[in-house]
Amino acid sequence: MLRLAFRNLVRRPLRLLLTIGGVALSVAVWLSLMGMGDGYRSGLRAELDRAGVQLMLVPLGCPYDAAARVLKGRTLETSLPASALGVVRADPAVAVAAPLLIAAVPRLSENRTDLWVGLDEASLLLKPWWEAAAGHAWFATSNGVILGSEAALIELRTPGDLLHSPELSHSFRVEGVLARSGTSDDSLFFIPLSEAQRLFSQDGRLTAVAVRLRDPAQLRVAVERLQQIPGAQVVTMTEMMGTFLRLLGTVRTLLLALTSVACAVGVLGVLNTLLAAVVERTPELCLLRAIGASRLQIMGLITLEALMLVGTGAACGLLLAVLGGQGLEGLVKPFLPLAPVDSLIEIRSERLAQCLAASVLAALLTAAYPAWCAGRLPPALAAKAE
Amino acid sequence: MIAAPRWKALVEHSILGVGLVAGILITAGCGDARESGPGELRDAVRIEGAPMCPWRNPAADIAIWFPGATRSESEVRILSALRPELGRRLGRVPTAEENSLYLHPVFQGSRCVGEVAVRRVKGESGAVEIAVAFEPDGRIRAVRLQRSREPEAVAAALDEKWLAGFRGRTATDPWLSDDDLASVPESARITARAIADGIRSLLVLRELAASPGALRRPAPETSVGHLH
Repeated sequence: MLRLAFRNLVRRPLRLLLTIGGVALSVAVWLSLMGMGDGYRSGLRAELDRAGVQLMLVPLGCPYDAAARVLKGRTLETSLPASALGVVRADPAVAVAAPLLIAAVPRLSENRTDLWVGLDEASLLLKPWWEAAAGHAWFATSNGVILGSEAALIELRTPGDLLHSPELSHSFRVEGVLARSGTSDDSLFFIPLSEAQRLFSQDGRLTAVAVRLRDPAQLRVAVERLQQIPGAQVVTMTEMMGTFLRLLGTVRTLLLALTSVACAVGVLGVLNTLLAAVVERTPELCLLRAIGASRLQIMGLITLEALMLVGTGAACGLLLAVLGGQGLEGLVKPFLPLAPVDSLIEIRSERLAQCLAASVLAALLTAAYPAWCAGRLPPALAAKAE
Repeated sequence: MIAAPRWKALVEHSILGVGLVAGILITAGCGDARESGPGELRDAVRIEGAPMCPWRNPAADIAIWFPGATRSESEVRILSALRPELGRRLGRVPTAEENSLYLHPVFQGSRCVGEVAVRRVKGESGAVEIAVAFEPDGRIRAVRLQRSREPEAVAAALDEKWLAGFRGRTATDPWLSDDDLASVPESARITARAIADGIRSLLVLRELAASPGALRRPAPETSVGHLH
């Protein structure tokens, strides 16, 4: 029966390809969309986990934008007074408070920007991946610079080399190169906080304070206390993740609506193909009935054709999602807030199983009516057709 | 007419065969991707090596170097097969980056009026990116430092006038000796040597890239990085 179903399908190659194409496209869009949602969620969670921070003290303004910028090593237009650090450290709920000063130095003529981060040793407690691939993991002198792995590769620097900043008219000595962390830290230049404040004329100012609590259960009370610091606001990582995921959820709902239209078109395409096939092959189906095929066998044949059609389309769709996913990711990633460094599209096995189940269901549903029509054909019609 | 059923059977079997192979490949691909996991896959891809040096300002460079040029293209020349020859010509073991060369042919209408190649070299105070324009016959047409971290005094010594000294040079010319660099202030000599060596390497790579042993591929789409 499998052979017969296959032969029937390939009888009209163009129609077959168009129908498979429709199914493949809907499956690819659906899988990519779901994969992107899953990938973004897990990537964001991993990124925030890697940050080792439960909350962040940032200057007044949009707290989520500020926290996202700090986590990605981007500078803010406003800053915090350094006195805020003392208040945070004095809070009984705070285990680690790491001050950061981030400065972006654009070089427009060269189409690039240097990102300098001033930090103190408390940051080491929040960055478990902080490990020197070469040289020292911390500054031995105030003139030292530690490079992220990517920055060292691009600058062709190794420990002991000089690194000059023409804008600051200052030469640093490279003291260490960090191991690759997979975070935005890989492309940053790290210098001691006090040196950063001096060089960037930001004495007594900070971009943000990253905080880890002694007990995460104290989050709410700690936030309430830290909110009292003048000129500062607190953003928790949970809030931040929730905000971004809600934003993603809204976009995803819109896209899912579009995807469901694509899926409906694909399903209708299959239905149309099967119905046309039944009409075209009426004499043959009647003949089959006349030579002893039961109604159930005829219905099974049509259902099998539907399953083969949808199955092939789904396999092509999966292939398309895997191959085209990177392109789609490249298009979408720049517009996502705090886009994870990891791959955005994550096609999980449960999504594949869902896709398979949906395909089988769609095939059975679309096959139902054509199979019923085919099953009702009277064997006598074969003689009439002859 | 007699052959029709046989032909049909052949097509049928071929389609079945292709479907089967595709199915196996898809299954294997999915299994492999799941087994390796995203982290492992990332690490496998991230072989340590400097990212490709971008051509930062193609429009401005073309306007200066090739007035009247209408467009440029990007292609990769694969030189892996020429490594022994490359090593002999360079007088050292070629680096991993030198297995290929990104070339940007520049056109005036359909006529190629020259090529541009870029390279990152290790200056004393940071990476220096050199952009070199070639004549169609392989001679150097112009050189520009598209990115440099060198202090002002070094940058002033390695100015356009100094770079103009490379004009007209070919891969077979005798190269700069230490005596040739005597005119450069001592503070700039390390970087000057790195630039000169980088330009010579580009000349050799470009010449080998034009030989029949080099494979030509269109360059993958890249964007000019804003960072660093």
